[in-house]
Amino acid sequence: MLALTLDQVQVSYPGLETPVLDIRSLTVAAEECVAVTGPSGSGKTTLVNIITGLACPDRGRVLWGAEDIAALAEARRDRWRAETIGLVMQEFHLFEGLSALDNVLLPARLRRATGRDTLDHAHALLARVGIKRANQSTATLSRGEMQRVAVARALLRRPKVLIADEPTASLDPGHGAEVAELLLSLARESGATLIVVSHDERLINRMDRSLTLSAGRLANAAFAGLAA
Amino acid sequence: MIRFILADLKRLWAASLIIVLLVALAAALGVGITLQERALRLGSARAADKFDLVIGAAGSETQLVLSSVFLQPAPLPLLAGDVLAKLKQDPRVAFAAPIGFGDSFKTYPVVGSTPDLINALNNGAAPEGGTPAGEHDAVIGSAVDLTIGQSFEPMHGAAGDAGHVHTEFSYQVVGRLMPTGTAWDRAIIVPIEAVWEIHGLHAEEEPPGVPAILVKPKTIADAYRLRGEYRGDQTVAVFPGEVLTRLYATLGDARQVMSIIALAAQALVAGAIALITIAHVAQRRRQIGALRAFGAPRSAVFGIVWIELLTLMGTGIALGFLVGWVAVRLISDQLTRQNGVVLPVEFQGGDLGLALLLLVAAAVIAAVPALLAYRQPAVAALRS
Ligand SMILES: Nc1ncnc2c1ncn2[C@@H]1O[C@H](COP(=O)(O)OP(=O)(O)O)[C@@H](O)[C@H]1O
Ligand SMILES: [Mg+2]
Repeated sequence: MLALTLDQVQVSYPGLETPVLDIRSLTVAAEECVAVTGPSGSGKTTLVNIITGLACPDRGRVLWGAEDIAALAEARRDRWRAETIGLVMQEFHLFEGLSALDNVLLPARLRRATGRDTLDHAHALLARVGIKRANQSTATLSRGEMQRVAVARALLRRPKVLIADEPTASLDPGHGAEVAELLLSLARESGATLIVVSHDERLINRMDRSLTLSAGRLANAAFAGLAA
Repeated sequence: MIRFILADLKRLWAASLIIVLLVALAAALGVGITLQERALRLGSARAADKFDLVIGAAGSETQLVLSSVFLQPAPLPLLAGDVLAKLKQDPRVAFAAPIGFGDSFKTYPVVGSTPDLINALNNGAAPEGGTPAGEHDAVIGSAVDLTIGQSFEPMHGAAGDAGHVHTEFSYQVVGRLMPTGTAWDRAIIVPIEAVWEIHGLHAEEEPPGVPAILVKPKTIADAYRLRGEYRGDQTVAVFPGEVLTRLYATLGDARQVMSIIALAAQALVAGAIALITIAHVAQRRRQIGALRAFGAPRSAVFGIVWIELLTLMGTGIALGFLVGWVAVRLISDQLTRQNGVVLPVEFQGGDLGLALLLLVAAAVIAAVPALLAYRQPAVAALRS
């Protein structure tokens, strides 16, 4: 579906001597499932922001397929993200007072991007992630269920890319495993490229490959050979 | 979007309530001043309606109007006794009726006059119950708490004064007037001869003086001529409507001061709301960031914040109009109970303009935090 290429990407903050993210080159193949690990503060969330187009790097190109999203204007980037990326975060960001179904539909509705089959798709996704009552109020869901609703929301517009930033970090191990399993199988079913930031060994082991960030730089085995 | 906005407002109900109440307060203040001033102006204009020309002894024109139209108790100088007789003879005069104050019963002023005045107040119809014939026959205004056939002894002095009771003289109620919405609804009208007699004045010897005379001229031209003639060293002649207009020019200044105070209060409220909502948007940066991160366009973020605030402020404005109206209604009813003048509390076409103006102001104020939300970077959602 969509492959990612990072080329000479740097993110710096004023007052910090070294860039918080500094990646010469990185490629993720279409439909690949990649884990990103690294200690706290190593730049994982910054990387997610860059590859989802939530933020732009100071330098370099962020290519999804042939499109350099770093070069897009903000509104274009927002639209591109809405159409291309399914995002799951550590915090669920569900809106209290809305049902599970309405939460799944909200971003699409705000973008007026709901078609005839959207509602059916939302119901199917909720069933797939194991939420039995689509109209249940979000406030009464367990944390594991909340994250599963968030996964359904991420998949509503059939994204080509699924990105999750520590999706299981705030869940107990049992629920974490459920959510991890869902992310993997749903990505595989839909053929989406999957990039997950995680410390969860069981999840990392099931991915095709894992990248390790350290102080904003990639330090994984694939590049060890180059350094030698 | 609507459902999201409603859920959001419910979640933020405390802040929402404060905004609605603040706006309602500011709007009620402005509306209240407008309505109250209008009610006073319309109510007293109606009260003066039947009083074409009032003649009194030289003195304050305003006091003459307040005493005769609004029955406000005050010692008025007396006209010479022959003035009434002269006016009655005048061919330009349809009728001239004396108005003699001085006594009261309970809280009701007892006013001495003649059947002409009763006719004028009752639009020419006979009073319910009957027309007064004898010296002891009284006719009551519609708001007087007496029944036809009942007798009472008048008290010397204005209502509420510690005067003595004229035990030697009693009246009997023979008729009741229609409601007029004026101070006269609380008046007890008795023959002027009876008032003179109680106070030891005797019409046979020399006509006694009266404090005021209501004159109904035959034509408008006659009214102006009569006013000109009776405006002199000894007498004053006034058109009550004109005196009231003059009074309102003075009141208008007071209203202006009140309006400026209301405007200042409204500006303060607008400032407070701007601050509350800006702080509020800062608090919501993560929620707003999340909406954007999941694919909501910026325009939707602007729309959500703007519509939420406009809904709250619109509700506040509507509530303010209601509260303002109810408050003025209550104040006016209280005033009516005290002095009988019915104050019409009503909205006019121009008030719609005020409502629209407030709404436009609200829309502009709401746009400030909405723009802030619009410019909120989307990354905020992922940072903890
Ligand atoms: N807005 C910012 N201003 C300055 N420094 C920042 C900002 N955002 C992140 N950082 C810094 O960038 C580094 C990487 O952060 P982040 O990508 O969130 O790390 P991780 O997700 O791996 O824990 C951290 O040292 C963090 O303090
Ligand atoms: Mg992080």
